[in-house]
Amino acid sequence: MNTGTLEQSASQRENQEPTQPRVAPAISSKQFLAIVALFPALAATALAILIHLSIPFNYDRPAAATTDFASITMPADGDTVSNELTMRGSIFSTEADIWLYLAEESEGRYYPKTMIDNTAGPWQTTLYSGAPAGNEFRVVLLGLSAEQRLIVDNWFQHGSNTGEYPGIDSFELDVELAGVKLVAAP
Amino acid sequence: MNISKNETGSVDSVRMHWLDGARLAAAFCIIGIHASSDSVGQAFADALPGERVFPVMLRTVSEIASTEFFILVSLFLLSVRMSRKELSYIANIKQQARRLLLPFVIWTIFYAFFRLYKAYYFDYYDAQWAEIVQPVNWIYYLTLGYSNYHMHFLPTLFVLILFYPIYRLAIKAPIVGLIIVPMIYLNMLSGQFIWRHLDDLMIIESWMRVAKLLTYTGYGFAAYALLGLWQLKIDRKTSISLFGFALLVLTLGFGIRMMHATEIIQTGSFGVRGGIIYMNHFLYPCFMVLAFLASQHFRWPEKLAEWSKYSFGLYLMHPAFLYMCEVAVKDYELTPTQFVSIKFAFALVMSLCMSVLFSRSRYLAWTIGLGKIPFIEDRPKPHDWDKTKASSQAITQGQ
Repeated sequence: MNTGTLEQSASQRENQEPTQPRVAPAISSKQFLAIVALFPALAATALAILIHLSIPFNYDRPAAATTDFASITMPADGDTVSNELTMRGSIFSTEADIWLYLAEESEGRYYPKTMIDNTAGPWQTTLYSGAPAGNEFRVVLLGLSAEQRLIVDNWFQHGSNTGEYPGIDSFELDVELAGVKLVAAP
Repeated sequence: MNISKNETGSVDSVRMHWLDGARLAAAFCIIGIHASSDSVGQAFADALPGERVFPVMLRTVSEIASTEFFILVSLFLLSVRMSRKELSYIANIKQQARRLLLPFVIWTIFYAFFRLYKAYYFDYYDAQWAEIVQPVNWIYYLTLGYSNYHMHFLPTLFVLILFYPIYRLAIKAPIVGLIIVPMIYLNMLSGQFIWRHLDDLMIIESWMRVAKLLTYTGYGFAAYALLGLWQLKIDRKTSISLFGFALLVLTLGFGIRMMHATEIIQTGSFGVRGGIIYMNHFLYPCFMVLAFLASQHFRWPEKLAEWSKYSFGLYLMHPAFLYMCEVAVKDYELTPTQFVSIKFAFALVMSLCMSVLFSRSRYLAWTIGLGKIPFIEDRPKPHDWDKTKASSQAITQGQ
């Protein structure tokens, strides 16, 4: 730093002690320079490895508004919407033993809303969102297997019995066929 | 505390190579902090949590030697120098003004315009130019250091130096250095108060700076308290105990940093520090310097001064190279890890090379704290003029 005589080093500035036998430095100044320079990157790498070993991160990306399988064309990604919203889109390609559900997603939990016909072509439906005003949420089109459909059916059944809909957290991101991020209007 | 003068019989054991090491650590870590964000200065909000791990870890590790650590090391250096060379208050301040504020003005002008370069490639050139042509913004540039995100350091340091006579109290009574704790707490409270009660952003920033400057005087007391400790000439055994103590506190503090880091990884936002995370962040530098001071008897490399003199240059130049790197890789699809790694390596190497080049030019070296200021510091001193005048008068008067 430059607060003192800027061109001088700290070690040049301190008191000169009487000469005594010297102890050899453990490393040279260039080695020290390299270690200090690389320290942030090396330490960060080591910690990142430890964190990755400790936490299984999911690297599947949430589905975009349009994919090879389906699209959501209305509302558009990033739109601010009211609680009652008209949803439109298209199914491009799907398989016979797949069931399509429109669902809200928030913090990794899915809240299924309504089933969509599993036929190629445009679709439209009205969806009632429970997102609190100002909050971000996603609406996604899910392609579910028979086993996953059973989970949804049980979830609806449990909700109607108890009045509680805690969201489904067992689905992986690969069930998403298309999705849009929305903001609940204040 | 045991006091022993050079118990080991080694001159190197009591020299301040550790301070050169601290300066280098500060310079490289600050590059790490600034390299760890995305091109808009955020925590890669659009990336997946797993992709944020390395950038956030780079930032977390680098923050162990943050700007406040740089300030503390600078104030410590100042305290060492001033304790050895008795100058009047005015003379000291004039000297610091020349050495801190003149480079500050030069770099302020440079960064005010250099930011246009990045703005051009990231499509906000017009807004950036509109900011530059507003004279009022130059007031903020030159008082708050707003020409770039790192420029606040110089005016902050200069103002802190103004208070140095009262810091001296901590040399004789190092316990006074503990005032840093309530000062940091007060800084946190005043920040919260100001944000809660004011609306205009620039007024908020101005008052925040006033509060920061007043409370950062705590670092001045801490620096002088550390000088007081240094002057006690602590023996090797006590030094090692002190080092162990500092290391323990730093390890615990790093645990708190990791808690904050976890939040950043999950949310993609640096968020606002508060409570224990805030206190830990701002007190951490004191224990870092304490650890370095306590390592005085370690076998430090002797020629660190050859490199540590570039630390100021590294600090001042690295953002320019970070900008250049961000522009260069703009059109490539890089993961956050690749992006920050390239930025860190490029800025580190280039700013070190450029600092070395600057140091070799008489007209540029002073801008990074090396060498005398041309035409100001390298002209004859007043007393030399007086001698010349006196001798010419003597000649004139035939004496």
